[in-house]
Amino acid sequence: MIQRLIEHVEGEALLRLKKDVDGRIKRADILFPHIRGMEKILQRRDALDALAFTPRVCGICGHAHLMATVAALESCYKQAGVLLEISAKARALRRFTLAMEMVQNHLKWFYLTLLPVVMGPAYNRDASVLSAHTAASACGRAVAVMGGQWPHTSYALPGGVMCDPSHVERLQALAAVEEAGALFQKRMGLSVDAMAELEDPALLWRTEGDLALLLRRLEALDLLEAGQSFDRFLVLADHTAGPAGKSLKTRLAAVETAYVEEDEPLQSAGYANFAKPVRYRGRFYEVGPLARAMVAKDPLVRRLHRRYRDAVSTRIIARVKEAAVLLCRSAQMLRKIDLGEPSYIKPRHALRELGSLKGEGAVEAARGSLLHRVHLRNGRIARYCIITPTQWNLASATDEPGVAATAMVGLKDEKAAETVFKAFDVCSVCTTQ
Amino acid sequence: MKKESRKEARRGQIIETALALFAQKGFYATTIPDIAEKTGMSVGNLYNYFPSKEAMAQEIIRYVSTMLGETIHEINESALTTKEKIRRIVRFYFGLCEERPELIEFFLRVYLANREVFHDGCEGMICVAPFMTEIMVFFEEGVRAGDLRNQDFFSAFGLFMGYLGGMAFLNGERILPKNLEDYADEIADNIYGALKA
Amino acid sequence: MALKLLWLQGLSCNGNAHSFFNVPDMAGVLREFAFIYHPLLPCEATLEEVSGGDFSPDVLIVEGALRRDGVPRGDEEALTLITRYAKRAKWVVCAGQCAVFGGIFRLNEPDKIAGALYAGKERGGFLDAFEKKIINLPGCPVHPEWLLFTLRMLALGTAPRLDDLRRPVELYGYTVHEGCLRNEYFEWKVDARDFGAKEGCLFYEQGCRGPYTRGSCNKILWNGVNSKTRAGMPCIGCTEPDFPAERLFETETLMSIPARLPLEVPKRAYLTLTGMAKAFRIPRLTRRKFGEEEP
Repeated sequence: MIQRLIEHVEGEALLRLKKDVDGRIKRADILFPHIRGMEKILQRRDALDALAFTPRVCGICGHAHLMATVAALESCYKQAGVLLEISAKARALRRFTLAMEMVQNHLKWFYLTLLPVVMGPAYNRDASVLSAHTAASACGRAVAVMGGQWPHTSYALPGGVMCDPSHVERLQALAAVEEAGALFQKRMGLSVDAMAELEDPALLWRTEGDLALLLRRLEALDLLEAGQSFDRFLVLADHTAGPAGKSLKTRLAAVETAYVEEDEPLQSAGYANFAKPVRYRGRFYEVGPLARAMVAKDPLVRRLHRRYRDAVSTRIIARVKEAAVLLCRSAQMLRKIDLGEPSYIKPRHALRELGSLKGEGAVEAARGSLLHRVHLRNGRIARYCIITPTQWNLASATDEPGVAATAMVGLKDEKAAETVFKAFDVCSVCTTQ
Repeated sequence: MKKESRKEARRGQIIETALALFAQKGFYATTIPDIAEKTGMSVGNLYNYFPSKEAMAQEIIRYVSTMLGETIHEINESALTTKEKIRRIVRFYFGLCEERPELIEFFLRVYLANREVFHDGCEGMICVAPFMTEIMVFFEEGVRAGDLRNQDFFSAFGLFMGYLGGMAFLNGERILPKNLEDYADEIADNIYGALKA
Repeated sequence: MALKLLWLQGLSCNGNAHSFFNVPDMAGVLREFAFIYHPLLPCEATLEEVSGGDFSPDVLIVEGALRRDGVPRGDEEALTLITRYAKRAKWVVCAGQCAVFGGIFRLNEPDKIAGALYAGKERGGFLDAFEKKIINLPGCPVHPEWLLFTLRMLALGTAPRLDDLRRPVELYGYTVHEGCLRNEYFEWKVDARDFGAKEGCLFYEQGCRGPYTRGSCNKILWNGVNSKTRAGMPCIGCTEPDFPAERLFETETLMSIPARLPLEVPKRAYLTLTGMAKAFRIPRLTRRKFGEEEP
């Protein structure tokens, strides 16, 4: 058995790989040894305090946790029969800042995680860091213009958002989107609009840019088709770039969050693991940009999928394309907001007036579907359950390997395994909270 | 006697006279010549001290408020329980009604009844700030000590001061069968009972 | 020669590492500092090498809360690793609320989880032995420019002047309130009636802790452009030892008087001044900024 500590993945993960007689990977156990106990910490707290707590689950996708908390608390109102009015402006601002967080995530992942593992020493380290920095700090600034800061703002709440932007803030945010878009064009070799519209995969290989460089390197390593898994995709929430749904290969169907169930973490001798696997109607599904593109019937990703199925190349391209799509759509969305609408419409009741409530909120985060389930008693949290995208993608059950573990089976060596693993955009802190 | 302190004493004299007249006859029925005459000075000289009747009324309310504030301050700073503090405040207030009825009369009949007199320079609670600050401190510390129920300040304030003002009014109208001071402890207990945590 | 930095984590959300990644001048950071290890940036060594090795950092940066065991990093417990390098480093910079006071994650096991010198408000951290080397930069997360300032001072060979909680006075000598765009509303006691308006102060109803929270959030803006209170989100006091307090989004009042007053402001002074300010209605402060209608 080979053990490998995988670093620079929002914390670390341990890979335990078993090989068959030909030296190919026969089984991969993925272990996450830390837990911070956020679900327990939230118990007995005031419901609105969750707005400040859950973003602290994760330093890179905390904003998605904020949005999931807001959605879960708003669904509590719904269960109580209290009609909430949320202005179109507040909804658009929430989507905008969430999309900006996703873009910073995708470009950081590309430049700080993926390029180093795929390219080895054959790339410019500093240029790569500076690319990630330009994109990520522009996106962070866009969130901060509305939410005050990134990371860890809590500017959204049941009933709307706390900010009240004028045209000044709108233009500041648009400039930040433009800056991230310009970086994308400079480094990837095509504009975000061109990328968002792109349908023909062959054009990707022909551009001069970091994505093409990476794809050619994957091709040379014979990894384009590596990393296939169950070929089942799940999107629990509507999002900026498409609808909720599931896709079994390319067959689409509707989803119900009621079918989402957590299981106990995989036990592996001598090493702690806190990653709880999660299934939909008893089956593992991949979540994330690839799943979203499949459910949205993205023409480029569908064509890649026809050739490579749910392989590492499809997964990577789906994620880079999603960054471009989000930048385009976010700018359009921001331009259309009617700034005269209210930011916040106070709910007619406080949660503490409504007795016992259950709620659930799903949002699409950078790495996929994020689900928060909450049980309130007189405005206090009786139970809080967080199901993260990386649980879907990375956690295995003791009796059944999960999505990423399955994707690693049959690979030729640990290096290939690390590449396939990191292409899922690993986040150790979210997987175990 | 230095000139300054002589002037100060004269000022105090004017205030006391005006207070008595305002309390007795009301603000509008009292004239500057009335006050001048009672003080034993010319109208012209009186204007050297106060530019208007309004200025006198404002000075009086600041004077009353400061005096009330100082006493409640002492009660606040004492080691007494909240319940005992309420008794002290009520006794003090009722004692004042007996000893210096003109102060209370002025407060009820001039300050509260003629708000327009106090607009320019006495907006809101400005002229009664010393009293208001101490009464707020009293309530805040009562809640902090766990003795009083936390609620809106004015709900509690109205119950306390409205009650005392009502009793002072009844006393002034000579309707009460007993001496006002005889009611003090019972009323203090009622207030505590209504406000306690 | 570039200052050698080693960034190690205890129980953390990675938020300080990501916050630091928003420094305005990353090229400068890459030029001025050499990272032995950092969770995001390319660096000289792997965590496994750090854990097995004996590097000599100038500055150890600690992110996250500490616990005696149960937090493996590489082949060692995080605390063992951090303690070993704290001994070797010239300075230990605690980046963020968790490393300084234990933070939110401390609430999971308050008697087992703590920061470097503090367990919440009390002393009793895990790195007491290195007190003289420690610089505390509380905040959830740490402000990237506060951390960069501290590192640049150390690179110049001067430690920033520290207060009694070992925080740089030039960063924590301010309250979050200072520089907030809503200050005029505070002065004249004009409450924000609700969330979602650029007008009104968030101290009276919405729970803003800015007037008694230390930090230069409204002097050195976040992401170069804004702060929570400017945007409309109340300060939640994330730099303070008592973070997180209860009911962060409403102001605790005792008979309508805020239970906590601006730092070192006596109650009577506060009540007198607010009573005065409230007596005046400033038309400009009761209108929407850009319109005639009431907010």
